[in-house]
Amino acid sequence: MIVTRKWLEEFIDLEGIETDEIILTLNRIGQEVEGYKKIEIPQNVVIGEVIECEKHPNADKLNLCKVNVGDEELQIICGAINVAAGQRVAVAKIGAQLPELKIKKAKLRGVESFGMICAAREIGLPDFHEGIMVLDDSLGKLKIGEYVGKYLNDEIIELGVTANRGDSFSIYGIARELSAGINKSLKSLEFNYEEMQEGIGRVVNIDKNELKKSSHLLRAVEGEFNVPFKIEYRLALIEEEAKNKIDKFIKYAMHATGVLLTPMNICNIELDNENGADVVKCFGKYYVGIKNDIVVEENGKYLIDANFINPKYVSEIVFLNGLKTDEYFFRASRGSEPDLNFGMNYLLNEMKLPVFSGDIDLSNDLKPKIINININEVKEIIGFEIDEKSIVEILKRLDFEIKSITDESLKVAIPVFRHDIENIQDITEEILRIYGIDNIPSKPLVFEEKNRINDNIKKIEFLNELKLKAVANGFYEVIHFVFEDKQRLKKYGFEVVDDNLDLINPIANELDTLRSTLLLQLLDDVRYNRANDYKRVYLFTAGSVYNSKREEKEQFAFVLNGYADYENPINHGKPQKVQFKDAVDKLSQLIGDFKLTEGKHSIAHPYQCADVIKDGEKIGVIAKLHPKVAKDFDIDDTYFAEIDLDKLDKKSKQAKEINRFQKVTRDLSLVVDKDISYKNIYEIISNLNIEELKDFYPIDIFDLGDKNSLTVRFKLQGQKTLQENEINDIMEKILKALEEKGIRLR
Amino acid sequence: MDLDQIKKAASLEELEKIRVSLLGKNGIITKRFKELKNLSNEEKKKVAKELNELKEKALELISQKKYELEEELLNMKLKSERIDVTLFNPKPTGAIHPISDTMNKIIDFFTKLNFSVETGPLVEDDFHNFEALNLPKYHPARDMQDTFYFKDGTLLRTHTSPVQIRTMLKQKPPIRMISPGAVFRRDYDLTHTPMFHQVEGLVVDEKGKVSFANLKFILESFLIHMFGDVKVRFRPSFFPFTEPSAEVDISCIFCKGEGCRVCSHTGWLEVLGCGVVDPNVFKAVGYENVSGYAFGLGVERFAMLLNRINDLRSMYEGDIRLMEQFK
Ligand SMILES: [Zn+2]
Repeated sequence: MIVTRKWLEEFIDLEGIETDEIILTLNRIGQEVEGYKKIEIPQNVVIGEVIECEKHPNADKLNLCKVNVGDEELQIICGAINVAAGQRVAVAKIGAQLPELKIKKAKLRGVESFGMICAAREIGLPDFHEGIMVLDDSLGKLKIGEYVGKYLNDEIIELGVTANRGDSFSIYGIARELSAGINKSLKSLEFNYEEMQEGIGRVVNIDKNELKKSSHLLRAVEGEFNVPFKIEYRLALIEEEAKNKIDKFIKYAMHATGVLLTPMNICNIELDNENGADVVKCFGKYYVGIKNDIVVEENGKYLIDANFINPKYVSEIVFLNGLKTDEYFFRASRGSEPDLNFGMNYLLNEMKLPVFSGDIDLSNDLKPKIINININEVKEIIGFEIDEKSIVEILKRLDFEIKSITDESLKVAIPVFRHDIENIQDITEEILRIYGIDNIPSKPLVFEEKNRINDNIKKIEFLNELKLKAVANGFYEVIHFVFEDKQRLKKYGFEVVDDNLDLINPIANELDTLRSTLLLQLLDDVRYNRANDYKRVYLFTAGSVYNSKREEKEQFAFVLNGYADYENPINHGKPQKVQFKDAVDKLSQLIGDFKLTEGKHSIAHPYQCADVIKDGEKIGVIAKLHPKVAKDFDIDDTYFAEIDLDKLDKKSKQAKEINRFQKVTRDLSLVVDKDISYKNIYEIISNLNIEELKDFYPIDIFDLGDKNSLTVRFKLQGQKTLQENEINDIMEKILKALEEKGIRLR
Repeated sequence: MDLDQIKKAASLEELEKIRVSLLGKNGIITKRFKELKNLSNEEKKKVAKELNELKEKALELISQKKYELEEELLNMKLKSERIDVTLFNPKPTGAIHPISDTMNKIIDFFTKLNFSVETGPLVEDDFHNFEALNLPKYHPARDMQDTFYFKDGTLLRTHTSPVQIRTMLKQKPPIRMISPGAVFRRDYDLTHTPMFHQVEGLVVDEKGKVSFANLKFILESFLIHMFGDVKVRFRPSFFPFTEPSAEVDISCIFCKGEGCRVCSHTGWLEVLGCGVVDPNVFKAVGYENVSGYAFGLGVERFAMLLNRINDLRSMYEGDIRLMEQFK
């Protein structure tokens, strides 16, 4: 909502009040000021009168004008097609500094020019007309030679009026707010227009009247419109565009008063109700407070309908019937100004056309709501006592009528333009905003305590711990939208949300569904950062993913790409590239111990992919990215892991007695078939359940041609120091078990 | 007897040779001890004393020289191991995302004051996201929040407020909670992303207990905790679920309230929305005779202010150039 200071001054006397104070007041009372701009015409731009205007002797497209600027007559060359003798215009005199040029004496095609006749744009105003700007007396009686800023300078205040305050979507509405805010009454306005002998009944018939919910006030005018400069100028300042002359008047008066005004040509109108919506029919339809499809021809005879409809009602009708709407609905649904006479008179006063006498008044009287206010309840809501006298004073400033008053309570009538006030909390807000939140002291809350450390807090702490470990391991955290490209998910074999559960209105094609994996977005990031010359890209993310039934779960994922270390003198600037083992090590640094079994994943290298098993349950996957997928993303070797957060163990660890006897190390080098994975050997040995075997793990593998040599290291420890023969017995037992499966010592 | 040769020894080997030549089996001093038996008792006593002194002296000199030579050797070895330590300035990597970091700081403040943390699904229904929050279907305020809808009538939550509703339906007052998480609006430009994060707070107790003045107290404390020495301003505003409502500004942390580009020359930065819970919200969850306050904030906004990030969208681009600044 844009207001200008001068326009506000039509309704309220602001003399002696700085605009800064107005802005402060508006903010304080809840009319948020979102922007402020000063319109200031450059100095040395004055009102001039074009006395003569002829063609330039040497140039067809130029005019040679004589312009009276008060103390002198200037010869000015002007290229505008619309310049003509008799016009009053803005003249930039020599020396004037305009936004884009400084005015100097000039010679054009051999003739001297002593200034410039300006277009609005050239003196820093919005560009709202063709040619030069032609002024009139609508912004004050023009005095030749006077500084143009005296008439045109203004200040623009842009307000973020909230959706509940339909009463504030007009200059008048804001003036009314300001009047309460600075405690100063509004001006009483006088409207003048010529009334004809002929009555409205002579030209307008109502053929049918089935209106149910709306109020209307109809008047008719006759004549040809002359749009004054003030209206053209202010419409430009509030950034409104109008279709034609009558539309300019209507838009201007609606912005000024907040009353819904609908113009039409003189006709026999039908007032109807269609599916609950009141409709005015005349060369098209006007759905009251919803949408205006009436076509108006500029034929000299017009009918104006000032109208009002209950905002809640019209919102419901539109919602239930899915109706199309325009700017009428914007105002009506928030609550337009119900004072129809005011809106009508303001418009007629500006139009300056003869008006047919009389009106057609189809109003339903709006009855003010009556609300009881318990003074103590107001105190409890605010947490501070404002005395009853101040409350009464504030409510009066806001046009609330005090119906009755006792020590404990008030009965008030709500002004009919305040559609938003319904209960005591609404009224408390009114009291609070005018009293000033700044004047309410803050107060700590007294509260009965209990333990509020719940599982959610524990979960957040657990996730944070995980994130901090990842950061300590060199990973950057990234965050993505939960949206993905459904085609892409399908292409890479991921689960997708069922079509009948998917988004109706995605923001973009590549964000048209909910993600089922965190990985593809991470791969996008790998590509992005590699392209930015990062040679070591370690990223992780945590967030929600969805299955085909659109069930939510939280996952954690990381990617490793490029170098395992940074470039430095030790590695001669050529660090090793990350390998499968690096990914596994990183994962174990984050989530602790786990086991790997061979696994499958739609974007994994088929022979470098493992399921991550913790306490016998699969909790995720770790793998090398399939080279084909890597190629699609234009990246090289990449490793990834994706883990179910909910399946991670958050239990406390249980300690065992420390075994203080000596540990013994033995290695076995075995000859194994190439298609046997270490997991087989691991299982054979584990199944022996040897109590003294505390740990064993592979330490070397190399190619023997058709077979592999695999060296496994064993850590033995007993409940006493193990003797050589005991150790040998254990190793024999292991070897025997392996030999039974065809695995022998090398 | 020349003990000076000990001092002149150039290496441990040489020193050992000298030691043997003096004190070895056939060393000069050893020999002279052996010759003692040829002397008279009186002389024997005298010479023995001299010899013992000489031996003591020699041993002491050798030990001292040995220490010096070893020290010298070690120093040479250490010198040969010199590296240019300045070659090894660290290159740390890894950082928590500013959104997570900010979220953690916010959660931390409120949990330390014993607010519980409550969570809810991102895919919500109309009742929890709108209806129960005093936003009936035809309410014009629904325009304020362009919503993502699913084909089955559900939607992506447009704020974390539905968690308030879920919590109130599940628990009994008194309630003191925050709900952090992702929210969604159908808007994508310089200053909007379709997903962003909020933290909301709700306190409910008996009627007459929780007031606007309490809300003022907690938010002033919170904002000073987050931003340090700032002024806090409350402006009356409108939210469908609170009444009275206010927007909260802090004095601009960039220009200290003087006015700059970031604060649009107002000297103030809007950071929060809050208010006293609207009776219609309590009605929707079946609460009677209660009072409460609620507040909500955008985590991205806080992160951008705290970390001086200019471009909202850059936080969702996985860009190490941004992230490495938070190492
Ligand atoms: Zn600033």
